[in-house]
Amino acid sequence: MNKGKPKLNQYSIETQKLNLFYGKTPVLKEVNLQIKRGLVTSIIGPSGSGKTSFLTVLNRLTDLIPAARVDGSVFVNGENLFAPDVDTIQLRRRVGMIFQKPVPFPFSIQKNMVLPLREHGMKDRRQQAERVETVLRDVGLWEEVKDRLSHSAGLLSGGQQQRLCIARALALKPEILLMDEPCSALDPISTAAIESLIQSLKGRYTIVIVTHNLAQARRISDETAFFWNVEGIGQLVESAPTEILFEAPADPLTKAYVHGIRG
Amino acid sequence: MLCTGVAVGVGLFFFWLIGDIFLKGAPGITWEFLWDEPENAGRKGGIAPVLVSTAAILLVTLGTAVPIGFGTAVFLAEFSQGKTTLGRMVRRALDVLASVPSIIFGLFGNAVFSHWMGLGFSILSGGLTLACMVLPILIRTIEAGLRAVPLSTRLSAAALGLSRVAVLRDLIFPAAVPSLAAGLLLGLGRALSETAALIFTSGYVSRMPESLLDSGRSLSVHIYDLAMNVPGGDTHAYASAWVLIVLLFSINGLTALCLDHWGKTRMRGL
Amino acid sequence: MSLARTERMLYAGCRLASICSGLIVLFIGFFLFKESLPLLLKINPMRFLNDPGWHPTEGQFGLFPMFAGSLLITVGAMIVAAPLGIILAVFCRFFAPRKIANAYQALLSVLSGIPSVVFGLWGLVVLAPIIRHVQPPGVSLLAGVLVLAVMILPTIALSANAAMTSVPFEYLQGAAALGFSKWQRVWGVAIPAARPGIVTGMILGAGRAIGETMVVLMVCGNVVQVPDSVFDPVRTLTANIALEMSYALSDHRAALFVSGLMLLFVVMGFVAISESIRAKVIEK
Repeated sequence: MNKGKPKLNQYSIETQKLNLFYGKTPVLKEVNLQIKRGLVTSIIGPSGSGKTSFLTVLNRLTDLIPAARVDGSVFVNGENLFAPDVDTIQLRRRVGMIFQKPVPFPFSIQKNMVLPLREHGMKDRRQQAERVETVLRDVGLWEEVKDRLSHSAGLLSGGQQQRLCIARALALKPEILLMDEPCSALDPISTAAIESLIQSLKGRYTIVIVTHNLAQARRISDETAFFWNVEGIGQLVESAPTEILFEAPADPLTKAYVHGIRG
Repeated sequence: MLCTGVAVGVGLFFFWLIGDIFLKGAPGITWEFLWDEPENAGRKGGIAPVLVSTAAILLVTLGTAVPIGFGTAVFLAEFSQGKTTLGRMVRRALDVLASVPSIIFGLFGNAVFSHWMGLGFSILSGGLTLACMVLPILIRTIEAGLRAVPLSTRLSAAALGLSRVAVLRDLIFPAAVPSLAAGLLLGLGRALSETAALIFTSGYVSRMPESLLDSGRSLSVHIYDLAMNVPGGDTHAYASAWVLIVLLFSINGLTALCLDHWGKTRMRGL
Repeated sequence: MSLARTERMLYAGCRLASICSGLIVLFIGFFLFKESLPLLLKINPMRFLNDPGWHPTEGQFGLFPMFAGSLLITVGAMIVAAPLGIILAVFCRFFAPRKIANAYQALLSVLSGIPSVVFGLWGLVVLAPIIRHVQPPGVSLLAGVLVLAVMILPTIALSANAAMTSVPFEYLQGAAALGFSKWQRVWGVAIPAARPGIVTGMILGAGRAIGETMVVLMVCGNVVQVPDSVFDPVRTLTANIALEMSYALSDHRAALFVSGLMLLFVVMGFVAISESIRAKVIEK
């Protein structure tokens, strides 16, 4: 893929001295983080440490927030995210995002799946149907919904809605999947389903997941980045392979956080 | 209790008024009344040309006001979002417009459409005048409907790489349909009730209009004329008022249905 | 590429539409002024108030009786409707059971949707003859005041009700904890706390009353005079325009536009006052 583009290194995403402001208020300060291709990276930290804001920079959803301003640089697959010629629509196809609360659109399951495909140029109905079935199988939803694709997506359970949203993002064949606390609004059984889904996607996609749940971060991620709130501004404290970050963190703050919560 | 007494008193008064219109109006309602031309200055005959003129005026009104109103609402809700100077100025101008008395619209319509544009006393002049009048309420209702689409929907649509046109066309416009219908009906009701702005824009000729450039008498003007200028016109004035009230109540009922539907779709939490 | 073009076209179209909608109000001011200008340049504007009579075809432009008529009708309608409106709101908010209160509000909003020409018809055919029994001619200042009061009552009652609904429940609870009776809670706490909203509603009602045409045209008798009693007929600025506009020419027509301009200024004044009250409340 991407012939003629700069040579791909092992990092899917790389931020250098990333700062984010809402108006004059700084939200993120000097974040330097490298996210490895094909792995699951979790971002942990207390509320207000800028985890979600960090995520929204990575697919430029910050563009929709009028007062948001970014400086520093972000490279996605070696390309500068904020270069003037970046097509945000194509960018967001390649960098999918899942939100805290599932957001199915107010129409049928079928149309939820097909609308983004059609928008990105896949007009052929057979192709569409194939792709929809594949990704719905990937998220384990196919058997549950195959007979009622024409039903309203709003009638699905919370867990099913979230898996539908993941399928909808996967249908566009993204390279990177950003997940903002995808399980926080779900019950334990749905959470387990999503977690095993994330495990099964590992290797095919680069996944960045924000989570409050340290146990979840340990269970599912290969790498973990720990953000902290310093006088209201989010900063990256430490990032490391998950095992190391939890067992032998370099920073005392990390140690206090991961142990403190564990009790 | 003072409060209860007053409430009952006002309530009774209200039923007196409505009952008066319904009881005195109902006997005059026959097929002939709806189908025939007025005779003897409206004392005899029916209101067919009046109904036709009314419908024509309303068509002109909505035909003009809906595209402009919809465009303005989309601009205010989706493009400007209350942050551009133009958006703020337009909203302010519309607030002022909403409080302009109808007789002023009549003067304006007479000066601009009848004289300056040379349309004379015509259905077109009257319809355009009413279009100016109903714009604020139309825009306000549609805008509220557009804004009711939650931010989370917009964000997740953007995150799927949907273009703005696609977001508007596939997500926001469909969600705003009930409010568009409600705005349309509210505007229709407002236009149907209006008299003062029409007397000297669309005029009061009670013949069957042959084109939009003919003068046409609206239902409300007909009631006014029969009550004020035609001795012995009361019976038919009441019958016409009955028709007007029934039309308005039906429109209100439909509006309530639309808004109800709108509330329900919103509540489904999508 | 074509997608971006569609978006640009959509944007341009919507922008154009909003410019049109925004310009209407300016056009209204402009055309009213333009049509008035010939006469404003020709005679001293004070003459609109000082001229002894209204004979526009003979060069007398005294609008004072109409001005007085409009003012008296509005003030009268407010005196009748404001207390009633507040009492109705109190009834709905504090005394009526939930279901009755909701039904009553529905009734009020139906009442507010009845066209003014129907109120006028009722006033002319039912109310005026009753007043005639007391004191001829029946069509009079009093008839106008009463019908207009009914017309603006829903506006005042509904906005007063909305204002009282937004009074924080804690205030009322606190007052109850201090041993206030229900009556004291309503008059001592709820109404003062809701005052800005109530006043705004009253100003809106007054704006509607002074701008109303059909009712006053139909039930006030339309005699150009400053009335001696409430039983005398009067003519308002709005009725004057409606009566004469269809045949007025040159200076006469311009004089009617001048009266329209005056009316517009008065109504804008009302809007400005209610806006400043709202702005103050938001500031707090």
